[in-house]
Amino acid sequence: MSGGDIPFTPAAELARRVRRAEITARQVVEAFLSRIEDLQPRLNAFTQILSDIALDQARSVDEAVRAGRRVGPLAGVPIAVKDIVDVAGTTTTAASHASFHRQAAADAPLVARLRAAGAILIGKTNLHEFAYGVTNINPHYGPARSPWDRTRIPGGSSGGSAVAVAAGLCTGAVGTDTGGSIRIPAALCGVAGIKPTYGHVPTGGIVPLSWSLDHAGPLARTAREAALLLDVMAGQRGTHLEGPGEGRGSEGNLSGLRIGIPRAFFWEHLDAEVEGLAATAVQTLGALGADVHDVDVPYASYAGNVAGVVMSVEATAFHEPHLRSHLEDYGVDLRTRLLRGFFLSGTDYVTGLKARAFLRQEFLKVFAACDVLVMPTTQIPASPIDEEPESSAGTSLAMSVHLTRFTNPFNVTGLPALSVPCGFTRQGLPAGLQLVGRPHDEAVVLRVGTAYEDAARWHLHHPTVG
Amino acid sequence: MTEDDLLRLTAVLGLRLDRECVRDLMAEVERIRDAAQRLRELPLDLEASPFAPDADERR
Repeated sequence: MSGGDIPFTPAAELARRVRRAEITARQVVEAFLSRIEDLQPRLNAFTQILSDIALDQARSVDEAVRAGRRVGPLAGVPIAVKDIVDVAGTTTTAASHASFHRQAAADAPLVARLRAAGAILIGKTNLHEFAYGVTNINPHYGPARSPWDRTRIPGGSSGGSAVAVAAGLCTGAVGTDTGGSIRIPAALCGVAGIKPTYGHVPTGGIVPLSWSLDHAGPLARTAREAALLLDVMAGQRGTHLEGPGEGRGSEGNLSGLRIGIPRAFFWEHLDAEVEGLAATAVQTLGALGADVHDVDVPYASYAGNVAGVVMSVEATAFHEPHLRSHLEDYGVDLRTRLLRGFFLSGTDYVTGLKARAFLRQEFLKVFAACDVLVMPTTQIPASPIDEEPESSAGTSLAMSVHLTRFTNPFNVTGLPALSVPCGFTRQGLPAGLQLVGRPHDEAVVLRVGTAYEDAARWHLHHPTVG
Repeated sequence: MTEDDLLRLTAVLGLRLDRECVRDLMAEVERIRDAAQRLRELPLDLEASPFAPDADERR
C-alpha cells in the first residue's frame, strides 16, 4: 500500500493491515497529517490538529502489534472529533470565543471507547458556533468549506467532520446532531452519517446544545464504516450490521423489507435535482427486492415547531450565565437564537414536551406499515458561503429552517436516522438519502444503507479539492 | 409586543442590546412564539403528564 492509497482506504481494511503489520500506524498517521497540511488551508476542516497525540497513539499501537498484544477493531484508524467533544489534554473550543473554552481533563465516554479500540485521534473539527446552526459559517474560526466546491457551505453543525471525511483527512469522524447536524453535512458533503436512537451513544463530555434533543454519532465514507464506528461508540461489538431485524433484508438483498415513502411533507418543496436523485435511489431499493409503497406520517409539519421551542428554551438555559456576562462574545446569529429563548414561557416549554411525546406515538404508528422510512435528507444541495457577518446571520437563521425540515423530526422522536450519498447535481454537488427506522433498529437502517451504497457506488466518488 | 417593549424587557433581564440587535431579535421572537402557539393546535391529552416515566420513551 502506498502513502497515496491510505486516505481513502476503508476503516476495517486499514485496521486489518495495521494488525497484520503490513503497514504501521505511524505510516498511516503520517500520510493523513501530510494530507491535512496540504488541504487544511483550503478547507478549514479543523480547529486543532492533534499531531503529537496522534503520533503517540500510533507508537502505542505499533508497539502492541510488534509485541503480539491484542489491538482493537480500529487499530491505527484516524478519527477526527467535533470540537465540542472532550478529548483529554486538549481544549474544547465549541468553535466559540476564547472566553468559553475549557480544558478537557478526561475523554468524553464515546472518545474513551474509540481510543480503547485503537482509533487515532487526529484532530478536532470545525463546527457552527456551539453547534447551534447549519451553515458552519463561524465568526471565530472562519467557515469550513465544502471539498466539492470551496465557495459553498458544507452544512452543519458537524461541517468540519463531514469535510474531513469527504476529503480523506481522516477515515471517520465524531459528530453531534440536535436537529440534523450529522445528517445535513453528511448529505451536503457526500458521506454517510447516522444519528442513532436517542441515548444510544452517551453524550457525556460534550458541550450541550439541548439536552433532550442532543445525539452523538459517526460520519464515515460508507454506511458499513459508520456501523463499525457506531459499534465502538455505543460500546457494542459487531451488532450494527448483524443485529436484530432478521427477515428484514440483508446487505445484498432487501426482499421482505417494507420501505415507506412519506410523500406528504417529506417529499415536498424539493429542489428538482435533489428530488430526481432521491427518486432514482428509491427505484434502486425496489430493484434490490424491497417492497416500496407510500405511507402517511401524520402531524409531521409540527415537528419543526417542537424542535424550535424545546431547543430554544434548553439552549438558553445552558447559556444564560454567559449571556449575562459575555453577550458580546457570541456571533450575531447565535446571540439572536439564544436571546429568543428568554421570551418563551414555562407553559410553552411543557407544551413542547407534551407535543413531542404525542408526535413520537404518531410516528411509531407508521411503522406498522413499513420497516424503514425513506426521504431526501435535505430539500436543497449546498448553498454559497455568505462571507458578510451581518447578512450571514440572516442567512444562517433562514437556512436552519430549510435544511432541518426533514431531519429534526427524528431528533424530536428519537428515531435512528442514516444519511447516505445518493448522487450529484449537474454542478457536482452531493445529495443525501435519509433512512429512518424504529427505535434501536440501527442495524436495519445500516443494512439498507449498505445494500444501497453497494449497488449505487456513490461512495467511490472523491472530491478533487481546487 | 413592539421593539420598544422588547428593548425594555431585555434591559430588565440585564441584557444591554442596541436597537439593531433588538430588531433582529424581534423577528426571531415572533417566529418562535408562533411556533409555540401552533403546538396548541395538536390534540394533546392535557391530563397526561409529560414527566411520567412512560411519557418520553425515546431511549
